[in-house]
Parts: sequence; C-alpha cells; structure tokens
Amino acid sequence: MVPGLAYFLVFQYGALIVNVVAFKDYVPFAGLWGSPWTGLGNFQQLFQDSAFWHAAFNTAWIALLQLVFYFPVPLALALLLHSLTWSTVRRFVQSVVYLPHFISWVIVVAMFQQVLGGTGMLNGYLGDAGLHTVDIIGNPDAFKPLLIAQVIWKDTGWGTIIFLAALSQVDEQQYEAAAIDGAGPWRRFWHVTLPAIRPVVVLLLIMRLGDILSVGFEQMLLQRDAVGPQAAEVIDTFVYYKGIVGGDYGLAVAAGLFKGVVGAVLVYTANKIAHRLGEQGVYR
Amino acid sequence: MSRMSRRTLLRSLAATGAAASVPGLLSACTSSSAAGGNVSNAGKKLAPWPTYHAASGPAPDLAPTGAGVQAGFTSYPSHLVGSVSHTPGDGSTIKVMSVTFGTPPKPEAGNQYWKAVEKALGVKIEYTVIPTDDYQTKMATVMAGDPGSLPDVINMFSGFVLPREAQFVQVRAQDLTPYLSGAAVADYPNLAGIPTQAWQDMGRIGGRIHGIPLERPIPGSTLWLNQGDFTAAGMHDGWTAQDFTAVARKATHGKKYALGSAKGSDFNNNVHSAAHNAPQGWAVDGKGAFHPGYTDERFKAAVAYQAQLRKAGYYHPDSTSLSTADAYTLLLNGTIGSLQNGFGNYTALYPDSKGLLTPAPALPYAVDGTPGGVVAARRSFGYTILKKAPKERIQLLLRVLDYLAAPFGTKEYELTHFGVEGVHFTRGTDGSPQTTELGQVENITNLPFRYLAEGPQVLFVPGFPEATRTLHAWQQKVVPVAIRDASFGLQSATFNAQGTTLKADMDDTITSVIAGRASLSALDGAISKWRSGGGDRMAEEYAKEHAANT
Repeated sequence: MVPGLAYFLVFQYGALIVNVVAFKDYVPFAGLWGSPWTGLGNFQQLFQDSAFWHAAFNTAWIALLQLVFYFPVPLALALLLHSLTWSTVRRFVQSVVYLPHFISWVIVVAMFQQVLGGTGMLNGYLGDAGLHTVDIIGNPDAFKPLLIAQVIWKDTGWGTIIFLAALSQVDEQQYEAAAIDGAGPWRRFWHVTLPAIRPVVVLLLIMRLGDILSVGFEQMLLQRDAVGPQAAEVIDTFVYYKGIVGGDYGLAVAAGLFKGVVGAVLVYTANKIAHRLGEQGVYR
Repeated sequence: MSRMSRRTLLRSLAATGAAASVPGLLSACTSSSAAGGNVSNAGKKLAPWPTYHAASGPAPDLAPTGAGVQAGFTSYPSHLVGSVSHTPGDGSTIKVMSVTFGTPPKPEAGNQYWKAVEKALGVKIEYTVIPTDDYQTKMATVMAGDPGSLPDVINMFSGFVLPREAQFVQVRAQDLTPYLSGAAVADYPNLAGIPTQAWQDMGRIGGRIHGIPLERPIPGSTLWLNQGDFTAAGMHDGWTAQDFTAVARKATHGKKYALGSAKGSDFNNNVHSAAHNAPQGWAVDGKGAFHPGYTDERFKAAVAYQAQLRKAGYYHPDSTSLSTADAYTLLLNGTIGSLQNGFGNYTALYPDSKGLLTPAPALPYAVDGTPGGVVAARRSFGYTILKKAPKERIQLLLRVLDYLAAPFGTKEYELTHFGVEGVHFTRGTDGSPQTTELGQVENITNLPFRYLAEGPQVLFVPGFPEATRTLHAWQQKVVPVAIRDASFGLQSATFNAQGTTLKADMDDTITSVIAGRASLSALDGAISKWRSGGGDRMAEEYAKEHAANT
C-alpha cells in the first residue's frame, strides 16, 4: 500500500505542483521559485498564438476521426471473433491481431514509409510500370486518414480484449431463448449482445474522452517533419517543441494545463450524460 | 540548489517518510540567481581576448592567404614536433560531452584508441556523445537538469540555436577569464594558438570569457556535389541559376535525384540564399543598423527558386524528414547528387566516397547577372565550457584541452587524429597515415575529441593530395564572396530567450513554402510575426552590442 501511495503522491499529485510554471517565466537555471511570476501572461500569449490554435484544431479533428473511425473497429472485430465457433482458429487469430500493438511507433511509421513513401514499395512499382506515382506520405491532405489507418492497423487487435471479455460474460441461454423465439442474428445482436456489453462500451468511451486530446505523441512527432506542423502539430507536440526544444517552459506548461482542464471537463460531462441515460459511468 | 527536481523530492520524501513535508520543502528551496540574466556586453568592461601566439609547425605546401584561405598540405609532414611536455592529468576521471557525427564509439574497455588518448592525457574519460539529430533535445534536458550532474567539460555546438544558451553558460559554467584572458593564456600554448577571430565569433557573455572556441575556416554550409553526375549534366564554371535548374533536371532520372537535403535545412536554404546574395542571418549597414536576412527580397527570391526546384521533382521526396546521416548515405550511394553540409565534412567525405564517386564543393551560381555568394561560417564551430570547480581542477581541465588543441604537425595531433601507429594507422609511401581496419572503427570521428578542443585547421586529407589542391583552389574563389552573419559574437537577450522558437517557426514556414504546402505569401505573414515576436528587438540589441564592441 505504501509504495503505491508514494507513487501517486510523488509522481501524480506531487508533480501537479510544478504546474505553477504555467504562471511564471520559468528559467531552469533560476529555479522554480527564482523565476519571475507572470500572472496569466503565458495563457495570454498562448491564446494569441495561431500555432497553438492550429495544434488544438488538429488535435480535436484527429480525436474526432479516431472516435468515429477507430473506436468502433475493435468492437466489430471482437464481435466477429466472438462469433467464431472453432476455438482453435479463434485463439490463433486473436493472438495474431494482438501482435502489432507490441511494435513500437518508430517501426510502424518506418513500415508505412517503406510501403507508401515517396521512394517506397508502392511508388517503386508504379514508377517501374510507368504510371503516375502517388504522394501519400509527405502529403498533408492525406496525413489524417493515414494516421487513422496506422492506429487501426496497430491497435485494433489490442482493443478487442476488453470487448471479448465482456462478450464472454453474456449468458448463452439468452441467445438460445432468443433463437427459439425466432430472433435472427441481427436481432440477437441488437437485443441480447449490445445491451449486455453496453456498460463496458460506455465506460471505455468515457475513459477515452478523458484522454481524447492525447492523440498519439510519438506517432505525430515521428511524422511531423514529413508533412509540416500545419497538418501534424497537436497539443502534445506543441508542448514538446515550445517547452523541451524551445525552452519556453511557461508557455508549454500552460498549453499542457489547458489540455488537462479540457480532458477533465469532458470526463465530467460524459459521466453526467451517462448517468442521465441510466448507465453506471466511471464514478457516481 | 536552485531547482526542485522530482528526484530530490523523492529522496526527501523517503527520508522523512511523510508527504506532509512537501509544501515546506518546496518553499525552502529558493533560488539565488535572477531569471532575466544579463548576457549583453554593452556597457560592460570587456575582458581582453587571449593573446594570440601561433604555434610553430611545418610549412604548408599551399600557403594560407590574409583573406582567409586555409593552409594546405598535400603530404604529411615528415618531421613531427612535440607541443606538450608534461602529462596534463593526475589520473582522475573527467566527464565530457559533445556532439558527434560518427557512429557510437566502442566502449572504453575494448577501445585501444580511447585508452591511448587517456594514457597520454593522464585522465580517465567518460564520454557522452550526442548525435546531431538528438542534440537539441538532449542539450535541452542537460541544461534544465541538476547542476551537480553536469559533465566537467561540455562543448556547446553552434550548429543549433539552444534556448537561453548564453544565460545557461553564464550561470552554470566556470568563468575562464582569469585563466585565459590576455597574457594568462600563455600557460596553455596550444590554446594561445587559436586565432583571435575564433574567440571573437564565440563572443563574450556579460563581458567575460566562458569558453574555448573550436576554430573553423571561412567557408560554412557548402553544397557538396557528386562531381561526375553534375559535370555530365552540364555543370560549368560561371553557371547561372538557369544553368543550375537545367543541370538538376538532367541529373534527376529514375530513382536518382539531383538534390537532397536533411530535415531542418529548409531544402538547403543556406546555400541557395547565399547564391542569391541574401544576408546570412544578419547584415549590418554603414550606420551600424542591423537588417535580418528574412526581410531581404533576395531571400524570398531564393525560397521561390527552391520551391520551383522542388515542384519540378529534383529534390529527393524525403528531403524534409531525412536525418543528416541518412542523407549523407544517400549521397554516397548515388541516390542524391548533392547535399548541403558543413565545409568540414570534407575530411570524412573524400575517404568515405573512395571508389564510389568524386565529391566536390559547388561554386555558387549567378542570379540575374550577379555572381553568387557562399555562406561564411561562424569562425567558431562551437565552444567548450567547464563545470564550475576549484582552481586546480580547472587548471587540469585546461591542460587536457591544451593537449587536445595541439596543431597539425605535432605528435599530439597525430595521436588524437590518427590513433596509434601500427594499430590504427600505418605509414603510406608518402609518410601519411593510412587507416587500418581497426582505425576505421576506433577513431576521432566516433570518439570526437576534436569537438572538445582543436588547433587551427589546415586542409589535409591523408592519401588525397588532389583534394587539398581542389579545396584550396575552391577557397580562393569563394572566400572573397563569403557572406558573413553580422551577429556572430554578439549577444541579444531576446535571441537568448526566444531565438529557438522564433527560428523554428520561420523554418517551418520556409520548409512549407518550398515543399508546396503553403504559398509564397505565407512567408510575409511569418516574417511579420517573427519581427513583432522578437526580430525587431534583436536588431536593436545587436546594433547596441555592435556599437559597444567597436
């Protein structure tokens, strides 16, 4: 208990104190308390900075795309896997689809680059065949769909775990009863499966909302140079470039704090809505 | 102790065993130094530069010129002199850190080169090497870190703009003025042999000397060519921008691209803006006013020209995301026909390209009838600072650096630059060191002592006398047209605090425009943002410094 408590106190709550940097012109050599206070100056500068709003817009846009296009995919795959009756095949497929999750982003991005890049496999074939090459990597317009494709490829399998666990809890007798009453596969899904796993889906959705502005730091950082900050800057990379690289720690922490507040508001709101709809939510 | 780190907090927590002490602990941890920092030299008493005293050495085959063409050696000196009489060290361990352009060195335990240098220096050396592509982030964390854990010797590489660099040096590094200023440098004869121009371009901070510069010749960012490819495509002396375009078109076919660049170089914007005669960074006019290169029409013309080259497909498609090392490999394997790199890259480029291609530095093309310029380097590639320490320790570290700064033609230089005879090199028929197989792994490129301290540079590539002649002849043509950044050696508080982010925003826009992701007019918006965000203040501060220093 004590190590766990110490962990939370030091690395979670203790670290919160350092957020005062957001209200200072923080210089590492002058120290946390030696740096002058600037009041809301950092926030003022932040909200006047078009680059920040670009980053915020990109973040929100990518988050929305992920929610719409990525979030349902693991659920669909879980349902598909669940419907497989031959357990050997099911377990084999399950193991295979988990694997990409354990590949680091560096490798995943490099693989996409090797296949779809300007000098990659696809353009190599097209070029050799005398056809027009396609500009996918390095094309800012294609960047966001590319991101979603990468996330789907990498994390769909991993995302099925909790859904599968929820699905395994569904009482088989309900399916039998429904089938005897003449319900087809679609009705069985709609009236048996979905109500049974709905609390889990809602729980995951709320937890995802709290984290929604973290749209993949590494993934962006690795590909930002190829398409430029206009397309690829998100709040996390903005914080990194302004703070760690640029040395403007106060501004970076202000941006980070902004992100944290938005996340907290989203969780609170989503939880409230879940209660209204009669769900448990994350907390009461 | 001026900074609250999580580690300190954790230690204190473990000691007290209670979280209740956190607020008290934090308030107890106050700082003595002010945040603003006063890096300006204006209105300060300026410490005299170290008195220059050239080290005696062998006479070069190709003479240096007063204008700044380097001395050239087509063969290795037959008689080496010794420049250090006593072992500098006392057997203690020193931690050092610098940038590297090589591959990670073999660990000390199995590295005979490392051990040989340690023995000659009389110290144990723990070396942290930072690849260029990681330099900015690594240094950011080092600078923000605990002062107690700083290495003893750090080289501040000038190739990047580090946030609040001057302020960091002023607060954290040893003031070396008492040891090096004026006649005091005579205790370290090899450091006294570093030309004054290098000290000047390193610059003072608050009137004091905090570092030791790594001297560099005048040529800076250089467009290195695959000579065969470019000559075959029609490159000739006195070429124009139209010729350059035509050559690039001819040299691009299939999977070969005439032009390549590494990320962060804005598609080699330095060489192109210099060819367009745009000021490199800052220009100073006769009245002492400072003008940024960004607002110059010729700079915009260069960006527009590069955007055309890019649009036509002459650049390698990954030119915005390649690391310098990867781009260099592409140059060597013939995928790209040219690459902007430092002039000093020649020492690696000639040996590396042996049997693959003949490298050559490009002459600038003319634009609208005006002969082009080239980039003048800061005469200091970086400077070495020392962690604060007692007098004896500082003197020891300076003796070590003095050894490493031994000039060409000395026994010390031979050891640090070529390793141990019979192990890392053998003598060629002309007496020049020829690298053995082991020497290709264990050497000064992978264990970069040359980035801690170095004597004045000469043109010499072992086994490549023709390279020396080519480069010497090239320098005679380009040194007169080299465009120098007028801000070299001057301090600006605004640049110190915001220079990094201001430059990053400009680089992002320049890259976007050339890559075709933004229109040329986006440049105007970025420039006015740059000016109001600090560019105009920098101009004023530089002008003030300039007036005070001259």
